[in-house]
Amino acid sequence: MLRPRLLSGVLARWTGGADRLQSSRNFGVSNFLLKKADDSEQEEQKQVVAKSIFDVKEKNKNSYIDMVRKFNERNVLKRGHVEFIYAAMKHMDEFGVSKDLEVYKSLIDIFPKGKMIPRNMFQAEFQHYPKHQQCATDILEKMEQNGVIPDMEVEVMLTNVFGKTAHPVRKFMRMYYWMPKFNNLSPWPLPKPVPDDPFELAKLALQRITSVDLLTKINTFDSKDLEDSLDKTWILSAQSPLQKEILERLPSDQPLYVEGAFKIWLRSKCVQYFVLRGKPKPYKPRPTMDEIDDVSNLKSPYIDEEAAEKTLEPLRTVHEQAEGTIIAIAATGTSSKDSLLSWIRFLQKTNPPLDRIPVLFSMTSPFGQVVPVNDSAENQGQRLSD
Amino acid sequence: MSPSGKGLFTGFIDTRVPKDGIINTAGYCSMRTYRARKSFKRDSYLNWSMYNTLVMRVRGDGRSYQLNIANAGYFDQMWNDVFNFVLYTRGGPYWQLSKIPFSKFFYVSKGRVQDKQRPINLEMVSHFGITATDNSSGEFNLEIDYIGLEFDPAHQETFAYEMYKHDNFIVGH
Repeated sequence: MLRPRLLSGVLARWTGGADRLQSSRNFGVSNFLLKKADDSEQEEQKQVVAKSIFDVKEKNKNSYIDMVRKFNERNVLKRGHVEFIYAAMKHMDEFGVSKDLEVYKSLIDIFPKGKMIPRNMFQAEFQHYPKHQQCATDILEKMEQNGVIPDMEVEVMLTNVFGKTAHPVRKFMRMYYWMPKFNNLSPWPLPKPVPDDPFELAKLALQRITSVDLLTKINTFDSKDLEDSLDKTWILSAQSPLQKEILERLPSDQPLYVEGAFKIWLRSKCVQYFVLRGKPKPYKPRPTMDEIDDVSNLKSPYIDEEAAEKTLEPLRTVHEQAEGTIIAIAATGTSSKDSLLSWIRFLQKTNPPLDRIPVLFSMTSPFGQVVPVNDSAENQGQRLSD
Repeated sequence: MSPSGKGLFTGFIDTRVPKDGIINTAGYCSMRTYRARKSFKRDSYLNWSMYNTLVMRVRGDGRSYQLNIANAGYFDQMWNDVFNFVLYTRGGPYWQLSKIPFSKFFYVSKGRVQDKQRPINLEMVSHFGITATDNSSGEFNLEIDYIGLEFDPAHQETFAYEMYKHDNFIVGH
């Protein structure tokens, strides 16, 4: 947005507001800070220090952009705009606007247009207005850290402020070239931003974990449907038909273990999940060198069944791992033992073999470090897993 | 070491910036291999020119990790020459096999992607490293079964990024 700032600044000096400008010229304090209270801004009268401009009750995008707009309106000559921008950047996280492109554009818009463009090659080479260029570069750096991809309007704004040879513009070029390349590289894409709701998060997490087997079905249960459950919460359970088949073939004397909670990260949010694991399928013992060298009694595995059993075995599925055979994966609202018990009960309805195979809860796991769970949400006042 | 006997790269990332006025961002954890050496502790290079893909069997926690292949040169400007790419992990109890061709690695020096890009020089690999540098505070763990090299004859790409000719005096070398 190109507004001719210089002209309006000149007009203000010669027309009105002489008292205000007098005092500001003497003490070198920003005009913005000395302004008296307006209609509904009684609170700001008490605040003279720049830091507390951002002490608003409601911290959201609208109030943030409002702050910036007020600065632009009251401070026609833009005194102290670099300091204001740095203070604004510090408070961006509080207002929750650090991933918003419009907010960054409003900050870049504060810079006066046309004034800082170099007019000869010496100015261009020696970073004309270095403090301002560094400030703009810092805005872009914050954008880059938060993963906000700029657009062509940002380039137009920066070029109008600093000229096309300036450092912020060069940094913009680099961002505009590289960031779109890295934006969608992940083989397991996630929405941007990731949902806040724990249920939606857990669903995404289970979809990601079970993407190894495309036939996995994710079912939603609610422990309200069970009479003797303590925690009333949602339960997401993921199981594929392959895992059901594996379960049917398992012997009854080997128990299954419910292990958890493990953590999975989705962007910056964490989800806790649990695994129903059986004992690992043992590898067939490899023949010794003597057995291999012994050619007195050669039998073909294609003809002889005994020989086939010794040398061949069916390919392992992805669920049969070295640490255990994964039967099902779940995430619950409270991540407590009681909710896991409800999960097993729901699984028993769709997996009849679970009636005959004992299920145990385990505190340790070969899959990795376990976050210990509480017995039930009531006992510990635990928050929802997120 | 993880409970299943594989290598474990684990720790805690804290992105709180120390308030000393100098540091701007914080929160990363990095590890890398020892430098290859000749006799009498002379620095040497690893020669990977026969391969074109990096293969890793890992089990992560859903976070992304940065892979660094250092091509430390002779002159001081080249001491920090590194080629980076991202290792995305699925998370969950299943192992994943990630194959990343060397043509995808881009040229970086001291954490900044360079303007003049070039493909990695596989004959002069000085280090290989992994960095946990997700922008979120919290625990990270990456279980590594093996890191290997592979030659994939079907992969014909030499370099994935454009090596543009730049204007003079604009671009850093």
